[in-house]
Amino acid sequence: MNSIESRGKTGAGNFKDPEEKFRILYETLTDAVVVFGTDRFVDANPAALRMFGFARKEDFCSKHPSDLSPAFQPNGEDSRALAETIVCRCRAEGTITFPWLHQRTDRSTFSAEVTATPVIIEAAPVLLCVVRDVTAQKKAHDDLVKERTLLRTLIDNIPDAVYVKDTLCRKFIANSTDVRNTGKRTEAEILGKDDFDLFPPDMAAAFYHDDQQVLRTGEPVINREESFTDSEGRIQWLLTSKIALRDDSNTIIGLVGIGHNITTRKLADLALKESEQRYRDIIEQSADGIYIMDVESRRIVQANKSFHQLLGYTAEEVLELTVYDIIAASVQSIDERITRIAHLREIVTGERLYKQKTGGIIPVRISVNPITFNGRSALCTMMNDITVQKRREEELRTSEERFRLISENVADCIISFTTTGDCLYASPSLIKLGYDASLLQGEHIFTKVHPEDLARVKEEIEAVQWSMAHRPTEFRFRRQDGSWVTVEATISLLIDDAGSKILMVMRDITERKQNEAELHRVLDSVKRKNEEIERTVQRLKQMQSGLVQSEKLASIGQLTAGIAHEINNPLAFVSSNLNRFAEYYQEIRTHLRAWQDFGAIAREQAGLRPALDVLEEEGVRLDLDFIDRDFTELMKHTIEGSSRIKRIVDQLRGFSHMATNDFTMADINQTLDETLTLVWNEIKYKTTIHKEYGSLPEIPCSIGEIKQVFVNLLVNAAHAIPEKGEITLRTVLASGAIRVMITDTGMGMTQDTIKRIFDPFYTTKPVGKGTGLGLWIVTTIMEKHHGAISVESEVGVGTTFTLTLPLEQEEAERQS
Amino acid sequence: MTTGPKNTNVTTGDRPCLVIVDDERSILSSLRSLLRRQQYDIFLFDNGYDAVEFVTHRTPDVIISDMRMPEMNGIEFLDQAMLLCPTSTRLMLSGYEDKVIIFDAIAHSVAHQFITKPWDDEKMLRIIAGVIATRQELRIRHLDAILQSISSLPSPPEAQQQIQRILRKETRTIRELAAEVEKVPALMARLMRISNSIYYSGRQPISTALEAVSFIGAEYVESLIFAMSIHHHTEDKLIKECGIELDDLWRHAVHRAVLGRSIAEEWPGFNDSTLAYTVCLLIDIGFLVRFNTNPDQSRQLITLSKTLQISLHEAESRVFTVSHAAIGAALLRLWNFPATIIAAIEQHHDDTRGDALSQIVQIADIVESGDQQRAHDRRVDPMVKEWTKKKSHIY
Repeated sequence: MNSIESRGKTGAGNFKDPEEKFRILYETLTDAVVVFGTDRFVDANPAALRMFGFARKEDFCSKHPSDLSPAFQPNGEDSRALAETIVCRCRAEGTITFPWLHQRTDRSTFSAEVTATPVIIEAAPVLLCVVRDVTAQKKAHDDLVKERTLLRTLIDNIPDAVYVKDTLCRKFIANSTDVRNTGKRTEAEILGKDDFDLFPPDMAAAFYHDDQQVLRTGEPVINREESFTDSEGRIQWLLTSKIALRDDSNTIIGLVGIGHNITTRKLADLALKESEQRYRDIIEQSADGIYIMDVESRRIVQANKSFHQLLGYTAEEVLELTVYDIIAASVQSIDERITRIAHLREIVTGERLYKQKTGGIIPVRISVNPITFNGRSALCTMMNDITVQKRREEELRTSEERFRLISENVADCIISFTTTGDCLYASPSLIKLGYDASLLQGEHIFTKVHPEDLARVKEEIEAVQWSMAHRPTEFRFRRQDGSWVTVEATISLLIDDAGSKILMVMRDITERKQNEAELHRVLDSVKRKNEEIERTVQRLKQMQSGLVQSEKLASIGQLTAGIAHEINNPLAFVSSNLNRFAEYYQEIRTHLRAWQDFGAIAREQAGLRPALDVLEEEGVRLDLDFIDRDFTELMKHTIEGSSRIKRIVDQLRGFSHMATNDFTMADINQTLDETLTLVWNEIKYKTTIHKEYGSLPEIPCSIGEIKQVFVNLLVNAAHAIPEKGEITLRTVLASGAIRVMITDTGMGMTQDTIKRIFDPFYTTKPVGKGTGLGLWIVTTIMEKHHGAISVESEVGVGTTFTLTLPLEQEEAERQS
Repeated sequence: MTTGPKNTNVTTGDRPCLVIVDDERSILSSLRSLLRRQQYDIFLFDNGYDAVEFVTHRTPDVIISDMRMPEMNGIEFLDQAMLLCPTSTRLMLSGYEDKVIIFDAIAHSVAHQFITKPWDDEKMLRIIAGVIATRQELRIRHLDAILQSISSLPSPPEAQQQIQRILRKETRTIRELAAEVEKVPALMARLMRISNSIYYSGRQPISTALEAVSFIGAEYVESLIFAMSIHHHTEDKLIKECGIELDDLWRHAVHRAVLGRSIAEEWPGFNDSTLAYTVCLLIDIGFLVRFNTNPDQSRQLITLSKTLQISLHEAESRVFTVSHAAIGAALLRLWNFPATIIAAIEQHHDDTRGDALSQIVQIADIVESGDQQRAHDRRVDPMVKEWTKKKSHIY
């Protein structure tokens, strides 16, 4: 507001005249005043003109507010429309003040605050408007608003809870985090409330206490830990700082509170504390003694109960100790170890001797690892008492030592091995068995046992595990050079902590065995020699008879052959010529017939009749018819006879040369029949033959010789029958062989006779009648065929000879 | 006793000429009487020397000689005859003889056949007639010179190895020996020839290895094998010329024989699979005769067959008039093989006329050679197909 004083200086006039007063005021006011008529401006003071940038009032006065404004107001409304609205309102309601964005003539805009009053000037209703350029103010206001907004945004986006309380501890600013913390949703719900409204009493009391302190003293409370339960029931921790809020005059008008959420950290801390506690418990409860030694000072800085007990110190005493007090070793070695471990930064284990308070030494197994304790380099050692263990080890060692002493000094060799055969120990005396004991370690016992004995040895090892009794056995043991010695061994079971072991004590019995073997051999050879001698004697006897026999046979063979040959020639032409005789006779007879026929015709010639009569008489006298018939008949018989001779000779020939010694496949039934033909004359008068032939496969045999056998038996059978009897020939297929049974109903034989019939030169026939070789030859032939012959006989009833011939010669040979 | 004329003025004429030698004159007269009606020119001698003299001047068709004769025995005589008139057919006649001597004589073709005394008139006539008929046939086909000189078939290098193998084995049964013999066609043919050339009353024709070995006996067979193993080094030239082909032929022969036996075993109503084996083994014997007698010819044939990619048989039919089937049959006839075998071999490229054995043989031959283009009885085609498939399982 310009002072009237200044106005008065420039303006002339009389203030007593109200109009004048008004006019001067009007003219000199620095505020713009305009008068709006019905639809346009009617007047404007110079300040207004200046404001809008008009030079002349006249230019201004035709304008509508919208002409002095941009098309649209900041709020988006159309200027003209809004202007009209305001005008109407003003006219209706009275004075109104409103903001307006005006536009100068140079098209620059400015913000204004307009106060419009409806007045009557010169009887016309007009609006008197004062237009104040509030651009600066507006700007300042806007800036302020902007600042405030910024501040608010900041506050709202700070993750920490930020709030401002008044002197009565009521919140009047609270950011979203704070809102959240209180469990409310909007700031509005909090504003004006104090902590007692928002939190449980005890919490609120604590908060209040701090608030009061700040408000009263003006001293801030920094980093107070507060906890509360949030809307989901979780406990939250805040680190709260409260600072006094002062105004310009430094009066405390309130406080600002900032709460930093440390819930996560707190929880972690708690968890850590918990685990630390657990860990501490473990250590404390551990049966192993645990202690921590500070590397630099070598002092025990912490130890558990077990440690105390182990070494016999109290908790307080322990903390006075250094590591040298407790380890039974030289300082240097202790230092060395510590240095090494600390530098290696690895876990080290081992056995040590520790000193007890009483002075006693205990063996412990330790495990040391470097750690950091209270920020310093330290070693944490865990240990347990191995006194008992050590004692046991010692005992074991002593007993093993004893054992070793015994085994090394014993003459026998001792091997111990697992149940699966891995050698554990071998006494040095093994060298006697040609084995370096040290080499046996780790090897498999079974590789040293002779493969043929292995099964038995394994059996014994099996057995000893069940019966626990000592098992003696013998087997061949392999020397280092690969040769074998025979050992006598006793196997027994050893049970100790480690399980079952097999213990074997061996003695070399090679020599003994050899001696035994030698003895046997000698005895055997003596026995054998005896047998041989006996056999030789037998054989000699046989040979003697055999020689005689084979000579005889040879000559018989030769004879037969010679006879056969000598007979064959004449037999050949005789039998062939007989055919000629038959043919010739037929031809002659036919021709004679022709002559006779001619004679019948010639009779017609009387002169020839007498001669013909003579011929006819001659014919009758000769009995030509008879001759014809008889000749034919005789010829038939003769030819038949020669055929028979041929057959017999053929069969004889079969005996003596062709394929006698070679085995060929033969049908025994057929052979039997062929033989029957051969001996028919010998036997036909006395006997009737019965045949019971089974179905037989062909078998390998020397046919000629088999025929010989049959001949002999058949002839014998026939000779055994005094007057009349029967011979039955039966053949049967048995398993792997053929059986031929020749039974006669002859005299039979006594047991004594039976015993001797196969002997060479034994005969029951009168001198000259039989050679006594027949059955002997038969047995020889049967032997050759790997067959057999047996006889059953009963005096007065008859005799049966049974021949057995194998189906296959190789099989029979193998079995013989 | 009349003896034949010693001079050369004898018309050979068309009648077959027989020479009979025996010290027993009754035998001579008996034989002459027997053969009187046969239109042969018969010359009788009671000793070897006279007979030798005769054959020096005149080549007989058939010589019949006794074994046991004083001064010159039958073998000696026949040996000489072999030199003087090699194309004559020589028959041994004897009452008794050591079988080894007989086998040897036949093996070396000293004698072509052996007949025992006493003989069967019918058989004697048949044998002689058969011999003469065969000779005439061979003469007609110009094979007489070739075939009559063959006493054994060439054996290829592979067979030699087999033979050696047999010798190295221990003693075995007749069956085992027969099985070994079966694998060596030359040996098999030899044994069959020998065993079929010996006449005993009641003896059946020998068609299989087992029969042959049983008849001859293991001992002799082994000695034969041994002889073969040393004998063949003399035929080196021939082997060198046609060695591989010989090997091939033999191998095919054995395969074919195995196949034939398998087919025969499954053939309804046919019970003689070993006969089938024998036949299949020997059907290409004719080629071997060619190899044996004319290596040049053989080489020609082989070359032709390879160049034109045709079978040997095809090549042969283009070059020669007489087929290997005919040659083989003729040879086996000369060797007294059983008629069934001869017939099957002679016809193995012709129409089988429904005969089971012939059909089996054809099938085996076609399947083994893989040559379906050759002339054959078309009725066997389905079986050929079947057995071609089965072939790989058999050997």
